[in-house]
Amino acid sequence: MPELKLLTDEEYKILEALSKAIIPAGDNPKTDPGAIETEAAVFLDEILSNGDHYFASDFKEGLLSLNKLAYQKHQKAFYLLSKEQDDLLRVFAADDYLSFNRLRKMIFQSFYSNYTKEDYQGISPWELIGYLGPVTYTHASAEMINRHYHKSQTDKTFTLD
Amino acid sequence: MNQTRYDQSLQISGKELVEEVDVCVIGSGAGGGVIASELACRRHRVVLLEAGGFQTKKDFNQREFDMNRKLYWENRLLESEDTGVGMSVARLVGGGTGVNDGVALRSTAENLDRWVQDGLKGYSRADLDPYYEKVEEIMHAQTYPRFEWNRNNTLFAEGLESLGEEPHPVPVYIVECHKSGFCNLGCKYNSKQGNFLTYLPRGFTNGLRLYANTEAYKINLNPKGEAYSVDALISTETKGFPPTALKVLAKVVVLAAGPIYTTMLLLKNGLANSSGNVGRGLSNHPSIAVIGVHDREVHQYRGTPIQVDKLYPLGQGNYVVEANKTYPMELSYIIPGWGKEHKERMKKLNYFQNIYTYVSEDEPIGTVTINKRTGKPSIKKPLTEKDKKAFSLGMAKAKQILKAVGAGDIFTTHYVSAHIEGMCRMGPNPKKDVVNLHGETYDVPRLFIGDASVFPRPVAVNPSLTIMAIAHKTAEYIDADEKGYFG
Repeated sequence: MPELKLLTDEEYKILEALSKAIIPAGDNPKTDPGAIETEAAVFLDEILSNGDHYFASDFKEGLLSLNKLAYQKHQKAFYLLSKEQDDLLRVFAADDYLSFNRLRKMIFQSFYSNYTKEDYQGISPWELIGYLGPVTYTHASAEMINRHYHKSQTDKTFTLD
Repeated sequence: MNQTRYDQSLQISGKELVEEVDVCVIGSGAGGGVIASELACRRHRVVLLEAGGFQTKKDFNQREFDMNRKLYWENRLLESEDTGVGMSVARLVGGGTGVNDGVALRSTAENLDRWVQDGLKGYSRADLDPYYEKVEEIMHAQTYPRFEWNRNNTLFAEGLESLGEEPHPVPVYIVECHKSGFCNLGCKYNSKQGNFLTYLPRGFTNGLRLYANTEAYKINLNPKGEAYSVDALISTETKGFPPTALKVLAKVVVLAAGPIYTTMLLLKNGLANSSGNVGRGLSNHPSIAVIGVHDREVHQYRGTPIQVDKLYPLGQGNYVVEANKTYPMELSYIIPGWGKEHKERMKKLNYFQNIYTYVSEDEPIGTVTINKRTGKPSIKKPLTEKDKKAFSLGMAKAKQILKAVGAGDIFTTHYVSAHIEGMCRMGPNPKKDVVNLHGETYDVPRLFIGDASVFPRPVAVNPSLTIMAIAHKTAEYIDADEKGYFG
């Protein structure tokens, strides 16, 4: 379990499972990473702990509502479900769209922000979708060549300004 | 007695800064920035308070995550409580002009005629044209030749032409555009003419004083019930250092914090609301992206974002279609679904052709109230049947355009909004309107409202030029001093 700043261990497990369902890895996680590989849940714990208290509290509440629904429907925690997860998410999205959308949005934000941990070895989310990123970054042709031929390069280390 | 943050700050720091001026303007965006600058140029002593920071090109790093946190309220995650629709509201010196796409469109005569029918004498297109001209000149509005358009705009124009329709080139206040496409994250090249590059420097040379990172909390009234001072907090970037209390004594106060935060300030202060209509009448040009996938790269997020559009006015569909961009993080939110399918779609990012359609004159039935738990805005904006009809026509048109240029796998996104208007309605009737035809509140003399909140109904197109034109008119009235406020 990583060192958490805001989430409890239980909340983190729910978030990690949810982020895997929202952004799964492909067959080869190094060339087709998902939210688990980029540690999106750790990044989210970090940014929520630095952000607005009410937003963080609504986010945590959303995680717990999802877990409650998992217990109601399957008598198990969300992170212990396997194939049932997707159907459960559909029910959750229909029942409580605002909570679901908040969780979904933040997981996408965490992944597509392109902030990864310093020791992350896979290709970055921006490289995965072919996004050219800041103009200042891709301007020099040497950098562009680098991006195409050295796929392990990540964009920026996981720090908050 | 409840202490405000201002009082607490005063206790901690033991002092307050006091400014005594002719005019205090709250908010430095399209409305407030123009009014502050124009009044300073007319030799008034003006202080301008802005909640956001003074960001310049060195601060704009072209990364969505960072800039959303730096340049927008609530990290650009503000959304309506009923539908979860994202509302982008700028929070920096220059307001929306610093992060919009620079579209410099005048509203249509037919649209403004409906304002006149609502009682807004003096706001027809002919009345506003001289003000529009001034704004266009100061903001350097211009249309780019077609060979400079990016592929997303070119495809849009070709699609419309193949349907037998003429695309409409859009003037923008962008000079020597570097085509990076990052208008919404702040222009790193100073090409986009936010008013921190145009109006505000004009004001500074004429003595305008700006307080950035300064949030106004309270508008105080004198015994006659007139606005006479503003309490604000100057926050610092350094954690642990208390904010500094600022009091601005002013003969006239202009509130121009954008419709949502202007409304919030009035509601929190319990001001100017004898009509009960402060916070009612929100319109937001609900918009949706219609995306088609091409065989070759389009890079919709690069280049000047909006160069061409087409308005189908009320009576002919009531919608606008325009070529526009979306950056990947926002795109990931608004593309429906999740999981493998969503990710595979994201991988086609560079092949997307992106068309936005928005309801041109959506019904102003939205509301903003104070969320009792958080103290933040609680926004509600349902879509009416008329809005839904306009939406479906706009989506159908966008799909036709995409098909005409060979795009496949066409899909629509969740809807978003950026053009927030209304909620402190201007009009001739004190019983139902909040401000008179000069922008002064009926209930509080010397308190003016100078942003899009005064719009009685939405403008037909992107609103920034109209906000600025009306701000000129308001500044002119304040300067004329018919009521002798400046003694």
